[in-house]
Amino acid sequence: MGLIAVVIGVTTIVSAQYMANSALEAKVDLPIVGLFERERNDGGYYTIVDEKGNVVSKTSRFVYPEDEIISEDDKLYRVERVSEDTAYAKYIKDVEMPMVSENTTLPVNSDAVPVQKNAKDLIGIYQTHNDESYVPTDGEESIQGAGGIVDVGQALSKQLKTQGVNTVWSDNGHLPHDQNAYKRSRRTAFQLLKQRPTALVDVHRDGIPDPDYYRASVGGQKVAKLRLVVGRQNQNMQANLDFAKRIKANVNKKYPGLIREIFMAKGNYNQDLSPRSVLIEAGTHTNDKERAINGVQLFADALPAVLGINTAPSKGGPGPSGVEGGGATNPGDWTSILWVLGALIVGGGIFLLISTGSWQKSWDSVKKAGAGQEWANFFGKAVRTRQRHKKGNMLESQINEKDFKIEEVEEKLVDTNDERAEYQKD
Amino acid sequence: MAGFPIGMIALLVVSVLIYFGLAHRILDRLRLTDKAALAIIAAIIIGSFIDIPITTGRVDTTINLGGGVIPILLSFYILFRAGTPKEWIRALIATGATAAAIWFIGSRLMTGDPGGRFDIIDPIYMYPIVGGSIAYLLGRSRRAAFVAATLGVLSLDFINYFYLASRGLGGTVAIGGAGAFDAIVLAGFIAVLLAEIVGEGRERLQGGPVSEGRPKELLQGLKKPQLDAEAGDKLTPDTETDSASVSREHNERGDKNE
Repeated sequence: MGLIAVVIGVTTIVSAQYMANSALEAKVDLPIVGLFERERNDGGYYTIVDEKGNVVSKTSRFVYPEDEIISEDDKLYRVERVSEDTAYAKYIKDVEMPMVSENTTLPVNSDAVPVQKNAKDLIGIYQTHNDESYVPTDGEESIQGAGGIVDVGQALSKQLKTQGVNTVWSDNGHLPHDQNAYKRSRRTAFQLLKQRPTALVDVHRDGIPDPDYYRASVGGQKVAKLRLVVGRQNQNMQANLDFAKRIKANVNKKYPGLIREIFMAKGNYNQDLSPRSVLIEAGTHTNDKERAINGVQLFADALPAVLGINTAPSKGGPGPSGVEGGGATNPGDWTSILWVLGALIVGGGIFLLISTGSWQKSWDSVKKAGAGQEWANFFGKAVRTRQRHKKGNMLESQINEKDFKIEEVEEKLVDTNDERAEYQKD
Repeated sequence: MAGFPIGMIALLVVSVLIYFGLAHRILDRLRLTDKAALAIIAAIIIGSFIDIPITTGRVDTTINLGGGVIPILLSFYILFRAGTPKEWIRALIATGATAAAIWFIGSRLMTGDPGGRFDIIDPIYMYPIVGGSIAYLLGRSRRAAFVAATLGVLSLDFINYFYLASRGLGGTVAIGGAGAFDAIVLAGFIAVLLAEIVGEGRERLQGGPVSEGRPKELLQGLKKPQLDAEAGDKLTPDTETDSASVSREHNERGDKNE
């Protein structure tokens, strides 16, 4: 047995080495970012159009039916079908965007009393694809190690700090640039979450070849616009979408047009970790990095108010102060809770139905759990002994009367403790 | 700032409670008692805050207690308790196959951002589906599903370490660094859940477990009463008091569960 374990262990290490090497070889053959992104550079990106053929969006990420977009002018579109490089979306409705209530922005020397003087205001920032870069200024679209996107993330962090907002910025690398990068950046996100940030921002850039799609002049500065991406495959989707809408509405109020759109995409993007997480795409690889930096700096100016962070000096001294504001409330949180509970009830119900075979038995199972029998093993000897004693009396009479019908008796015994027997734990 | 709004706190609390509640029920399916399962959950939560450095230098390697050490130890414990060498080998083959499959899918098919051409589901859910499916196909076993998914996802970190080291790239390999929410932990839990649902569903569809051609011992185990034929034989009025014997049998089982 030991020998088998050693052989398998050695095989695993050798094959791991092989896979790592083969990844290396592949990287020599292909651009660093991988096969599909090369196709995108050759013009392989999606154009999303509405029913009239007007361009709603352009994106280098693959688009799927059910993906949704809230456009710059707050119109909701849903992708219905995708054909080659074109995605056909349907206009759904005009979205009412949530605005932060005015009282969150206190005037300097306001008499309002901070409600949580010691509350931490902290924003976590990281870059999942830390190789992403900007060709005109960085020379490459992808730089192994620290790409231009790391500078953009750092600029966002610095600008927030100048606002008096605490940030925790990570320059952790998550190479190579593949899907598993999100598994690796999940650890970075969790490390940041341990410091209890109010929000998490994952900084990216897009990969469409057209730089004009993001170029703009906002607030007197040349910027690359931003896209917010919300992952659809997690329980926090509604909360994060609400958060993204709030960001878009309030940032665009201060700097019209800075947020290009909200894209609700397939995927999780580690947004299951926090109901205040957002992925931003700062321009595309054909934009100048400075434009991207200018864009995130303006974004940083408007973000604190969305989170209910007041950056005006309070009576207690300079720096951020706690204010009670509508900015931090988020109806999407409650919608998310309903989804989570709904999924639990539906999923649990289906599972019970499968495992017990009928609605009646499923209900019995629920009742048993409710009566505490399910947890008899937890609550010490008192409960268990009492139950056993009760059952014991009954068993005795049954056995005497029914002439040792053990199986029937055992049915009752099993009920006293839902611990699975060893043979069932396979 | 306004601190965390009540809705956000409620959402976090509900999500975390359901997650750990479900995790507990899943561990309970793996030859663990209720209490042992609870102890492991507690250890994973507390361990999430402890990172143990392994190597330092160009590539820093750390392992998280809750997201790495405990799930790995649990996998090996389950593997050692698996019984037959056949089961051992099956679980290990499933682990190797899972490692290769998730590496191929995550690093080859799904390149770039989520939303790629072959992305049907986010990788965080892809790992357990692949691990659980491979293990289940090989051995129809919940335990093998747990082992294959956990150790399979762990192997991605070895691959990543070699990748970074061989390219001379700096970086951090934080094994299980996301603690209780790491892909390693999630993969193990979800794989068992899938094996459970598929297994139960399949048995339900075919009208009960297949018994034909199965070893006698196995069939004995499938019968609900622990009191098998032999125990039943002992329970004759001539030999000992029937109810006492039944009670004793039950006590033994109860005690074992404590």
